[in-house]
Amino acid sequence: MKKPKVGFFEFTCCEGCQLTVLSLGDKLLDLFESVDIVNFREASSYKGQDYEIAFIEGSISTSKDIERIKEIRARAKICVALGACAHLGGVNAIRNFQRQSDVRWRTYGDKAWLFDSILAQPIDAVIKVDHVIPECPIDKKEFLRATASILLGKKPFIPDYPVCVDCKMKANVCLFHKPNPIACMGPVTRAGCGAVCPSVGNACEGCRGLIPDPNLSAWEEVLKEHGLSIEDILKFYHMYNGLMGVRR
Amino acid sequence: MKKMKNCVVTKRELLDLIDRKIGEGKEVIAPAKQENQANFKRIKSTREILWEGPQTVIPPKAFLFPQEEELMEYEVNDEIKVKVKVEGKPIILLGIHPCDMNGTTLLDKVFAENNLDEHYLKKREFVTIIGAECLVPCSTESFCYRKESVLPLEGFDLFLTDMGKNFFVEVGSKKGKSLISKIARKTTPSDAKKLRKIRRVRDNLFDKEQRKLKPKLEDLPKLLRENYDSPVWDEHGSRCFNCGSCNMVCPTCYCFDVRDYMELNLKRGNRTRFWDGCLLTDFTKVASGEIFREGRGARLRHRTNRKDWYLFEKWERSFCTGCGRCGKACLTKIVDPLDIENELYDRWKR
Amino acid sequence: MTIYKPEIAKINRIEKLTKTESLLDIELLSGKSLGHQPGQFVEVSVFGVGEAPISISSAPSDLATFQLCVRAIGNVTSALCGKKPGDKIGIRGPFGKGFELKHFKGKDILFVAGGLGLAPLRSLIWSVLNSRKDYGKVYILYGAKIPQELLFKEELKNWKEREDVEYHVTVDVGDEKWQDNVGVITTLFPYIQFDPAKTQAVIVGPPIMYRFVIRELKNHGTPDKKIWVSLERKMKCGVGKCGHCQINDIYVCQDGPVFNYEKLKNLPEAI
Repeated sequence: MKKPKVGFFEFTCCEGCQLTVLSLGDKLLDLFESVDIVNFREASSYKGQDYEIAFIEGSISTSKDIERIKEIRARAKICVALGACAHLGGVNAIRNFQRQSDVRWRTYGDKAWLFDSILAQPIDAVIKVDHVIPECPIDKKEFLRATASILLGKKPFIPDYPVCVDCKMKANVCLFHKPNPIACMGPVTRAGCGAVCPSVGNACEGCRGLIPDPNLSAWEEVLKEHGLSIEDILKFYHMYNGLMGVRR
Repeated sequence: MKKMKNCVVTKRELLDLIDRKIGEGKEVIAPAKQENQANFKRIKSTREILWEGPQTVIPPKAFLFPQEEELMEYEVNDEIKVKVKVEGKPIILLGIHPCDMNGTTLLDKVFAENNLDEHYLKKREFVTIIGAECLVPCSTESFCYRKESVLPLEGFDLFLTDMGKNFFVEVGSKKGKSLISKIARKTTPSDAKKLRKIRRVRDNLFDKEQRKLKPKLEDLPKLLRENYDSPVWDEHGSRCFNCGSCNMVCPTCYCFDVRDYMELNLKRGNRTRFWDGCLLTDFTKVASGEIFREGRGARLRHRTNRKDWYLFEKWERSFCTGCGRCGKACLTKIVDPLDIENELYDRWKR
Repeated sequence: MTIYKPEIAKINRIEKLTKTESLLDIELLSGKSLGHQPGQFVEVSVFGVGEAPISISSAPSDLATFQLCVRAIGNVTSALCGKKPGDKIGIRGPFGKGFELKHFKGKDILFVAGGLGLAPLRSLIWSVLNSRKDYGKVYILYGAKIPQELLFKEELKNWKEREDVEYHVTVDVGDEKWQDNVGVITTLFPYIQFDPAKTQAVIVGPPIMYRFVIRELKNHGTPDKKIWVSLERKMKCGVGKCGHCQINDIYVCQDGPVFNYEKLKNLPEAI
């Protein structure tokens, strides 16, 4: 069987998701054996344009990005959003909730006019996305499973249920029930991460996006009971879900 | 189950026996403290055991029906080779509360009914269960006394009651009997008398401290049947996250999803089952996108009905053991069956 | 052998019926006949992709092959429709309760099929037509969204031509070539005159259809116990364990998918 050609592409992001791919260890060799990687800046200087599957990391935040991602879409048969920035706009979208002139000045100083930055957007605001591999950064196991699914022509399994499921399976004490309770976004956030943050005592910040039917009013009620203000709650949303990243 | 002879062992001797087993490499799982709650873990010494509450976050079902369990693996070439994985390993589950033994007994029934689930039964075969009677309520959420679950029906190899220096031991199986044959001594009439007294005190304490169930236990199926359309379901449901926490932590929830995973070479793969829950939105969703149980209230109702109506009528026993885990786990405090049933009862009476 | 282990089977033939539906001829490698009842289903495995419940579309027979009519809609069904003759798949089953012919022998039968509902119903229709003299009058009402979505077009022609079958067809939206009825399935009822006292009515179709067809039948005076339906649910394990297909206190994979309406009407989650 001919190996499918694959490209990795980055937009505005930390490239942590591609680093995750590179740090797959032995499994990276399996990946190299299963696909031909023709475009992967972090791994090779070769830049082929004949890819069938494009893994796209990062959010869209310049008008040049829009042109470039449309070209990728035109070439690839399958486009996969890789990680929270591509999926939700990610932390880059925090700036959408600030005055843009301030943000530009803070970032670029008096050279701001040189940069055509626009509001950060998830990639599906610009192109049709076939599959999403969420999280910040992506989960290795899920990436491998999802990639195998895509090669098989199957929609990858990405849960639509909340992180609480994963967290209970891990037998964690709920962060809300600790002696010093911690407010957590788990009840409204998509699972699949294995509750990685709550398992080490950190609040879920929603990096896999909201589930399709989050009970936000119940969640806000719980947060208020735990003494959080509206501002605190908004901060929670703005971390990853400012654009209300329910997967479309 | 055939009743075997009860006996008495000194605590010291039993704990030494277990510690020796641990020393020999035997896997002994018991409740141990985890932050301000508890969890089952493989213990290195019986000193780690948390004999009295709080309840463990997840029930012992995890050792018989794991969160994630490979049912089979396969190789796909010109031929397809399927290798079923039916595996068990000898472990001792120690310090299991009566509610959880009853939960396990109910799982034994459903997995052995009609179509035998060998994956469960094989694990079950290898497990030795040593239960321990609760003499004080384990948490404010539990209501085991109301669900006639302060004593195990069956489903244990040994069942211990703390009598100070000794354990009173009910022997539930040959496996249990042979485990303690060297240290067991015959019970005396005074042991039996002492046990009766301990249980009387326990009953009084539990009756006083645990929340009341207003309807009669045996009337629960009727209560739920007649209140199928009660507004209580949507009122509670409106605050439901559909997070499935109640399902995950329940000792008698046994629904599962099955998923196939292929390796990158697309030759080798496996079929694995995972805990699933009827409170999750997609639980009834089919490929066309249709969801057959729509609405948060309807899903909450289904769970409650399963526990105290559908399965209750079928097996003549409530499938809620009153362990209190779901009530504890639920962030919006809407799922506790006792709360719901009392609320239904109050409004129904009016 | 466990209840979850599929038996390996071979696809002998694939016929594309419409844009989305294909008919698969399947043979168990063991050479055994499936031994099903009309209305039962099997769990079909595409290894690596998953397992899906699919109703058996062929009438019971001694042949080693059976047929499944598959709509490419999910992972497993799309993979199945993309298979080639000779490809191997897994089969578990047959599962559930199908149509028991004893309830239909000697009676008039009214078949009402909507869309893909014809797939399971076809197994019963041919069981009846194969021993036609054992039954009274046979009516078949069939509806689809558009003419292109009609399944088993050759067989439909056969039913239309047969003197011993009264067949009517409708589509929700016709096209320039369409000459038959246009409208929802219940608009076919005025064409037939059945005797509710002597007729067993069998309905299979999308969830929304049942309510309307049952109301129509009741308006004609059909008693509940003469109405039969087959329900779609998420039958994941097929053996009454996993919980997904539950309707109130019953498991569709065990007590169904075929139900008598007399029983079903007391289950609020059913229809």
